[in-house]
Amino acid sequence: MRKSRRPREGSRLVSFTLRLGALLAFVLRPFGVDRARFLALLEVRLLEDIGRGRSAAAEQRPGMFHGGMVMTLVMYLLFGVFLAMVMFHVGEPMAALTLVLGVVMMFVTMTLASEHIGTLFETTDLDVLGPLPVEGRTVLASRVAHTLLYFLLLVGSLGLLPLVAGTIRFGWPFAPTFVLALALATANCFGLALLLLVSALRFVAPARVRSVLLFLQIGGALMAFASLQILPMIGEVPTAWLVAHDSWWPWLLPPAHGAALVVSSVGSSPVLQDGLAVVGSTAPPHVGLVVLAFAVPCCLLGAIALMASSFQSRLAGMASSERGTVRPARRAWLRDRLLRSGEARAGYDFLAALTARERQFRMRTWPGVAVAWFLAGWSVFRSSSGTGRGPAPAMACTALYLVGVMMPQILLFTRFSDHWQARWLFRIAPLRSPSMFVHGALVALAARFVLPVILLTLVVVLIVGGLPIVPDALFAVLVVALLSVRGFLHGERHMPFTRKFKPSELNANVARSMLFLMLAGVLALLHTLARRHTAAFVGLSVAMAVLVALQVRALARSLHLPARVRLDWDDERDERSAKRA
Amino acid sequence: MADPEHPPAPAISLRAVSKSFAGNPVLRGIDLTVPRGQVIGYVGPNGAGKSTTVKILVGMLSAFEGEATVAGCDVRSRPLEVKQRIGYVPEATAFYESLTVHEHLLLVGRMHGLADALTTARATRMLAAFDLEPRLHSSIGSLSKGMRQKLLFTGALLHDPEILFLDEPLSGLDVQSTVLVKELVRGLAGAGKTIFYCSHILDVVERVCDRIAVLQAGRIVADGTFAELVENSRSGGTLEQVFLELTADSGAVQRAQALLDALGEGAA
Repeated sequence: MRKSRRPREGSRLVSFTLRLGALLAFVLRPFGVDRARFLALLEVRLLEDIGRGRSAAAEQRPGMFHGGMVMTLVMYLLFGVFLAMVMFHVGEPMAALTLVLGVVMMFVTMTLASEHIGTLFETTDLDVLGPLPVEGRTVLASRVAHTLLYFLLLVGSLGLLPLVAGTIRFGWPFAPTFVLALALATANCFGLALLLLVSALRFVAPARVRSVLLFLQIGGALMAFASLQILPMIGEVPTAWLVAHDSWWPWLLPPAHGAALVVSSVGSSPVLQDGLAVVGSTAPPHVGLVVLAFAVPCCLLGAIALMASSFQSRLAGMASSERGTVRPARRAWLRDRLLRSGEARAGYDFLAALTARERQFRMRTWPGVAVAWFLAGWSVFRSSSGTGRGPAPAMACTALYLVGVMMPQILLFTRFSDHWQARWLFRIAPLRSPSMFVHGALVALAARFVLPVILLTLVVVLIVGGLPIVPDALFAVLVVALLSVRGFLHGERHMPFTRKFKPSELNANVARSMLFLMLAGVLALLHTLARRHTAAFVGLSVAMAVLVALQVRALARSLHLPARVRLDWDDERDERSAKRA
Repeated sequence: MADPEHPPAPAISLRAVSKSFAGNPVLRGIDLTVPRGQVIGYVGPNGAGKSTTVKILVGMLSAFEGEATVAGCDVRSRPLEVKQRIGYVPEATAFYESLTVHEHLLLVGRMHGLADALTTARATRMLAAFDLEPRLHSSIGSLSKGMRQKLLFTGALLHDPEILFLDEPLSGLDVQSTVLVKELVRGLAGAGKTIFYCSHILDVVERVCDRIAVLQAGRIVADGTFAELVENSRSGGTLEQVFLELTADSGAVQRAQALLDALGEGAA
C-alpha cells in the first residue's frame, strides 16, 4: 500500500519536498490539517509542477524549475548584495537586521500579492476536489505549502549573501538564528495575507469576494512599497532606541521582532557590545520582541485555521456565484472604425469582454498599475516637499515611465485564464489567420486598457506639473509608446486567455521585464541629460518620435504574419513532454 | 448529376490511422469510410480511442500516422477547410465562463465567418428551441451542465455544417432535451448531414445510427448496421449484448462480484 504513495521514478525533488511536507504536516496537525490528505494533495501539485502529473494528452506547461525560475533565483541572489552591504555598513546590528528582514518581507509580500494569490485561490481544481472527503483547512494548507516552496527558494536566494555577511561580522551563532528569522518573517507575511484573504472569503458575499480579493491585493502591494520607503529611515535609528523599553513602535514592526531574535543569539559578539557601548546602552535586546517573533506567526496560524474550516466550500461558492445578466457592452462604434475583418473584430470583443471580467487578468494587472501610480505619487511628493515649488519635471514624469514599464507585462497577462481549457474553441475554429484575431485583441488592449491608463496618468501629471512640464510629459509619452510597442513586438504571440497560469510562466519572463526596465532607465537618463539643452532635447524628441513611428509600422506589419501565432504550441510541448517521460 | 467515374469523396475517411501517447498506442491502424449523409455510431469501452479518433478528425490532433480526410479534405494539410465544414460537440464542456451566451455564440459565428446579424438571428431561434433564449445575456458561468450542453449544440450547428461530430452529446441533458437531441439527429440525417456519433448510451446509438463501428483497444472489431451486427453475433438481441461480446467483456457479473469481495476484504 505504501508503494502507491511513493513519487514516481526520477522525481527525487518531489520525494525530498514531501519529506519536508511531512514535517510541516506534523506541525499543522493541531490546526486541523489531515496529514495523509495534505501530503496527497501536495504531491499532486508537485508532480504537476515537474510536468508529470498528467498524461501526455493533457494540457501541460513547463515545470517550475525550468529556465525562468533559475533566472529569478539568480536575480534575487544578486539583489542580496545590497542587503549584505547593509549588514556590513549599518553600524547598529539591530537596525541592520531590521532593515534586511524588512526588505525580505517587502519582497515576499509583493511577490505574494502580485503573483501567487491567484494560485492560492484558484478554483480550477474544485471540480476534482469537490466530491472528495477533504477538509478546507487541508486544501488550503497544501496550497500554502506548495507556494511556500517557491518562497523558500526565493527567500533563500535573497538571504544567502546577508547570511554570509552576517556570519563574517557576528560569528557562527548568527547563521541559524538568521535563517530562523527569515523563516518567521516569511511566515508573518504569509500569515497576515492569508488571514485577510480567508476572512474575506468567509465574511463577504460570494459574488463580491473576487472584487474584495482584488482590493486586498492592491492594498498589500501598496503597503509593501510604502514600507520600502520607510525602511531606509531605520538605518538611522540607534540600537539603544530600538531596544529601549519606552519605545513602542518596534512592537508593531515584525522585522524588529526577528532582528531582536538574531541579536539575542549574537549578544556576546564584541561587535554588538561595541555598538551598544557607543550609544551608551548595556540593555540586552528586548525579550518581549523575541517572544513576539514566535508568537505572531503562531497566532496568525491559529486564526487562519479558525477561518479556513470552510475554505473549500466558500471557494466553490465564489466560483459558482451567480453573476446574473450581463448588459451587452457598447463597444461596436470604436471597434468597427479600428478593424475591418470579422476575425479581428471577434478578437477585439473577446479581449474587451474578458479584460473586465477575467480574474487572472484583473488580479495581476491592477496591483501593478496601482503600485506604479503610488511610486510616482511618492516620488512627486518627495521631490516637491520642502521646496515650496512644484515637483521637478523629471520626477513628475516618473509616473509615465513607471506605467510604461508595466505595459509589456500587461500584454503578458492577457494570455492567462482560469478557463484555459476553453481554448478548444480556437483549435476547432476555422481561423484562416489567427494573427488577425490576435491583432483585434491587441487593438482592444491598446484602446480599452493601455491608452486610458496612459491618458489618465498624463492628465494627472499635467495637473500636478502644470504647463512647464508639457514637453517632458510628451517625451515620456513617447517612451511609454516605445516600450509598449517593443513589448508587443518582443512577446510571443498567443491567443488571448488560453494558458493556465503557473508561477513558472512569469519566471520565464523576468529577464525580459528587466530588459524593459533597463531600457526605460536609459531613456530616462537621456531625458534628464538632454533637457539641460533645448536643442538636444528637441533633437532627442524628434528622434524618439521617428523611432516610435518605425516601431508602430513594424508592429502593424507583423500583426498580419500568420506564422507569428501558433495555436498548437501547447500540443507540441505536450508531445515533447511525453517523449521525455 | 453524379459522375459515376468520379464518385463524390466520402464524408469521412480514415486509412491506417494510428496514434500513440508517450509510447502507449491508443489507435492501431484504423480504417473507416463514412459516406455522405450517414449517421455512424462509434462505440467502444473507456480508453478504446473514440475521443482520440474524433480529435484527429476535427483537426485538434495533427500528430498521427496514416491518412484522415473529412469532406474530401486532408485534416493535416487542409485543416481550415475541414473545420469550416464540421460542427463539433466535445465531451468536455469547457467554456470561457465570463462570456455571456450571446458573446460566446458571436465569437463562434465570427470565427466561421458569419455576419453578426445572422449569428444572432440563428442563435436566438436555436436557443429558443432549447428553452435557453432567456439566458442569452447570462454569463456561461451561471449555466447548468445541461444548459452548457445545449449551448455546445447551438455553437456546433450555428454555421450549418455538413458533418457533425458528437462526442457523448447527451451528457447532462434532461429527458426532454435528450428526446429533442435524438429528434434533431434524425432530422439532420434526413437533411443529408453526416453524423459521427460517439456514445456509451448504446440504446440511443441503436436507434439513431444507420451504421455502428465498435472500437476495442484501438482497433475496429465490428462495423455494420445494427441488424448485421446482431446477425453476426452469438449473443444477439440488443446492441449492449453484441457490444459486450465484441469487447470480450462478458464476465461483468463475475467482475462485479470481485469488486464486492474486495469491499469486504479486511472488514472481518
